Amino acid sequence: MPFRLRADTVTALLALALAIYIAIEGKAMGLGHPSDPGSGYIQFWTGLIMCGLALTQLVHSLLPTADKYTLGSVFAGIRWGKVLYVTALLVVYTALLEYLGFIITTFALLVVLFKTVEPQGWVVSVVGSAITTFVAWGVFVYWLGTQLPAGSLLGN
Amino acid sequence: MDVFSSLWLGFGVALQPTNLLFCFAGVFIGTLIGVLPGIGPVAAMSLLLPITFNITPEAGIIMLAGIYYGSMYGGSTTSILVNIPGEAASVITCLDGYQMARQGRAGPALGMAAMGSFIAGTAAVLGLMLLAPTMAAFAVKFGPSEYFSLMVLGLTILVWLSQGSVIKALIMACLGLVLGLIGIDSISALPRMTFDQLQLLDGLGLVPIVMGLFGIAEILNNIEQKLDRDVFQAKVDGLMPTKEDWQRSAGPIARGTVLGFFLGILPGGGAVISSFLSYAMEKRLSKTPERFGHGAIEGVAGPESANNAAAGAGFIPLLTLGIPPNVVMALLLGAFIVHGVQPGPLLMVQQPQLFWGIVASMYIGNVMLLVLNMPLIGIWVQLLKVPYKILFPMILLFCLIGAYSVSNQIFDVYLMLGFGILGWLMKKYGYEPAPLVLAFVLGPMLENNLRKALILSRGDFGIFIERPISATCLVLAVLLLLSPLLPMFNARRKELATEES
Repeated sequence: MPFRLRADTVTALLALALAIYIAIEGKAMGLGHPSDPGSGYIQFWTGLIMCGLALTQLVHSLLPTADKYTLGSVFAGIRWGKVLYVTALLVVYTALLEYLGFIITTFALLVVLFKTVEPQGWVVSVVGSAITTFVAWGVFVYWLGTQLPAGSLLGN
Repeated sequence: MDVFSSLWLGFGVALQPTNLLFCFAGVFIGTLIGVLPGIGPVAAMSLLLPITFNITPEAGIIMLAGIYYGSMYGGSTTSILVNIPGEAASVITCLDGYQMARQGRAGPALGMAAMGSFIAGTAAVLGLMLLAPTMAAFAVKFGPSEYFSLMVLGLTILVWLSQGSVIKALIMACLGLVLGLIGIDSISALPRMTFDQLQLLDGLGLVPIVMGLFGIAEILNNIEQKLDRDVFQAKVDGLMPTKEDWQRSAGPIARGTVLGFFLGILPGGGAVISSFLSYAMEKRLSKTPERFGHGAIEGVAGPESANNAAAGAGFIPLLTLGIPPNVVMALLLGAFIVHGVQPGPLLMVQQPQLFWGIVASMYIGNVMLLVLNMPLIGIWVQLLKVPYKILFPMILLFCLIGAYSVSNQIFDVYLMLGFGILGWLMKKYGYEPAPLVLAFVLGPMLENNLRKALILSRGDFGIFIERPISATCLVLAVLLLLSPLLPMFNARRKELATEES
């Protein structure tokens, strides 16, 4: 049977790397003395404790009795492509929000979400997106006084 | 000022038209959030937190509190009618509530859930009112070492009750603690882990983190699978339980209320665990335990009372000690701080109108909830029929607006997305977000109290074990952490955690 790295082993290694970084950063900031702890005091000790925990998790994950699922096996049977797609849409939305403004970007995002994730008809997608966008703008900007970007494209 | 004149002052505040309106908005949104699966009170409160910046602290906190206890009411509706809990504290209600609905008794199940919630919620506010002054007077004697140890105990209980591995939960707590330290050190004014980014000087925002871990991650989890909902189609009528239903439910409501109240006070405890323990207790006490899981009304009355009592009791450690016992209260703490109010033993003395206004609003809110949940049940049932594919883009939009509006920075939206993906992956690999968030909130307080205690004791760690309250908290924390090593305790912990999951 080919050797497969277990998910818990990989996540424990990641946690260990992060813990070492936290401890090093803490030390660099200055530990001070117990009678006058420095800025890095608690961070350093938290990093060390985390190192110990990550090592325990690592050892535990290598035992024959540990869970055998791999990094990839948790994605079996789920629509992970949809998750990636929605995440990418949200990143694009965020990147364009201040440039195009809330109304244009939100309307576009909602139309794409309605039309592509669980496909709806054009009428539902366009009308639903328009109503949601304008109601959200009205409620948040005019009623609740929230500042949402109007967009630099339009010279605002 | 005695309790009753203080309460009179509180009702004067809570009955002001603006506060009344925000109380109604809170319980209404809370019920809505509870009814709709896929968005919980934590995400909803994070979303609405920025909105409270423009209103008075009283109105803001009254609304956010209303969302929390309102969601406890609403959560039972989906459990009973759809067999999907609206939020975690109503998971156990599915077992008997849905069976009652299938037997044509959805009305009495919903009615008993609402009545039990009302009785327990009101009793919890009464307990809060009577216990809080004593607790606050006691807490004045707390020094930095007591606060530090109490926070350690709170985090430990939360970790102990985590669904899976204690080690993973501890790793998350450590990570949360460190994330909470990012920004300017409050004592030395040195920047920590800011990577020369101006946005990080004030630290990471609580709202983007919570909305990412609980809101976005939950949506991504729902998107990855087809969500089928079997809404109970029969007409829901006859909400009033029968005399026999009342006879069966009186004991469970009373026991659930007491159990939920005391578990709610404990740091790390709360609504979810109390509802499960109430169910287990009722099943054990029942002369006909075989009825449980097949439509026993006690299985609805007990847990629903317990989770509402716990929701009310959770305010006690926050308002009297300034320590949030769970993630929801951590958000409320954030709301207090945003408004320049520091909850703790002096809150009652320095801001009596705020403290008693919140208490009084909870009485009013519970009455509002009874009105919302009994006659308006038809509206909530209709709402359940809105497909998730229509709902999720709107929930996403609310999250985006919520993250942006905290400080009008795109950085916060990216932060939320980052934590959303992290939260989704964490769930896949068995890492829980709750210890991370609570540690993130407690981190700066924990560090501050640790450093103050060490400065006061001139570096002597004995201060943490010489003072009785501090020593008790630390001993309890160590015992809890060591208990998984004992097979008997570990089996019980896993049983509780599995029930909770």
